[in-house]
Amino acid sequence: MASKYKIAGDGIKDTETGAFIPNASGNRHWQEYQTWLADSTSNIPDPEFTEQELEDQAWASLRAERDSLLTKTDFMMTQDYYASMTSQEQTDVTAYRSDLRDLPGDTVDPTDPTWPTKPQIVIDNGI
Amino acid sequence: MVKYYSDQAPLRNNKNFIINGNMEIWQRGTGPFTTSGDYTADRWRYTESSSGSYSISRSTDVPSGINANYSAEATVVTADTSVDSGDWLIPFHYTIEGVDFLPLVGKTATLSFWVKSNLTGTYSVSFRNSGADRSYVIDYTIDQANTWERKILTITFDFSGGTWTYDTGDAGCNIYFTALVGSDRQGVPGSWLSSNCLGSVNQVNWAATVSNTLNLTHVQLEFGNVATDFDYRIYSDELARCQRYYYNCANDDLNKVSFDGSTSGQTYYGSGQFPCKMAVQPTITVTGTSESGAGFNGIGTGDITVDNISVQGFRNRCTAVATDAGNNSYGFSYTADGELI
Repeated sequence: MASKYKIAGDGIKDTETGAFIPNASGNRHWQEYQTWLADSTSNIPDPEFTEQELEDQAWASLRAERDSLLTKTDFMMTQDYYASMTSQEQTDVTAYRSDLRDLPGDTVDPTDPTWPTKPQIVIDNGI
Repeated sequence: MVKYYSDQAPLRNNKNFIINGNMEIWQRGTGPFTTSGDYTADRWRYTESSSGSYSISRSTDVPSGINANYSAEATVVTADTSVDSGDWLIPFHYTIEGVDFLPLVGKTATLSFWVKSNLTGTYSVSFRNSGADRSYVIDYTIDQANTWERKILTITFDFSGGTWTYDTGDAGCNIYFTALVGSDRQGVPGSWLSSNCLGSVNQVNWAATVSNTLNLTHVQLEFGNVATDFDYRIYSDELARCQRYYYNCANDDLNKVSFDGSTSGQTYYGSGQFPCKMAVQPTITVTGTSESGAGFNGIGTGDITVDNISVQGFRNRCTAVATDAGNNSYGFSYTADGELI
């Protein structure tokens, strides 16, 4: 069962009203929260994020970073740039981008992914 | 010598210690407000502890000739025919901020107001400190049913002792317009009491009959022992004063945050600014959302998170639901509640 309150940054959130309440002694809702805390030892606010929310955030963060790396290397796949690379560089970049696309599927723990090794040509481009 | 003065109109001199005394501003809506603890007209709160139920609404019923748009109207929804010792009902409760109350300490002041009810009899007004250990009760009578009457009460804030607070963000002095009070909270009128009294033994039980009404407007508290004409402040001035305690950033002035491009799953941050410095760090409630571009398509109020709330503004964030290279924005309406305790 969800608690009446949950942690929200430096304050709390009233889960019934959706209100964000600052940690401020002069705020009347913060005082109500303090009274609620004191009323019973079983009155405990929920953590800011559930386990599922933390996992979802980790996956979202992983995909965002992966998408960013793909976007940054898109130019290497344009016809002119691709043709300017050596055969080995072409193979390395193509494999690197493929590994990036496969990363979410190959990852068990999104907080500890094994990022594909960047080819030298990618590093040389400041990526 | 040339004298510059006018005898044509009263001067605006900010003599009234009450904000929104003429019930002009209702940022929370026009009611009915039915839950004890609700703020109704700006700066005015309704509280009760009784077996009855009540509603407070904005009313266009005003005294003739006093140039008012609205009064606040309380109505009995469910009667409380037997007043228990711990019962009380305050349809209209006003709190003066400590720093604003400080000039009144040791001084004589006059409270004037217009009131109307279908129930005649004796009613009480109580002044009480934030520590609830000093109070002063004054009785007045409503002489004629369903007739607007102006009441004038004088008080000297010459209390000694008690827990009083005089700073910004503090509750300095509470003023209660009482409609019912049991014996636990009754006190003798006319002197400072070392207890938490909300009315006298003479207070009628206004809640005894369903559909009883009580209207109030043009409340003014000023220095001295004379009730002068009501101090009409310009609307923008009055609204700004109200917004120190409560601000409704409504749908027509959304707090909007824009970005060039969005990435799915990425969290975007924005800020919000109150129109004036609030009395205390307020509680923020997101009341509506809008968006443009695919990045924040379909977000709801639960998708906006607020933190780092200060008396001047706050931080907010929202996570993009789609990657979109174009201009993306999320916007939201909200309320900021910094009313005094």
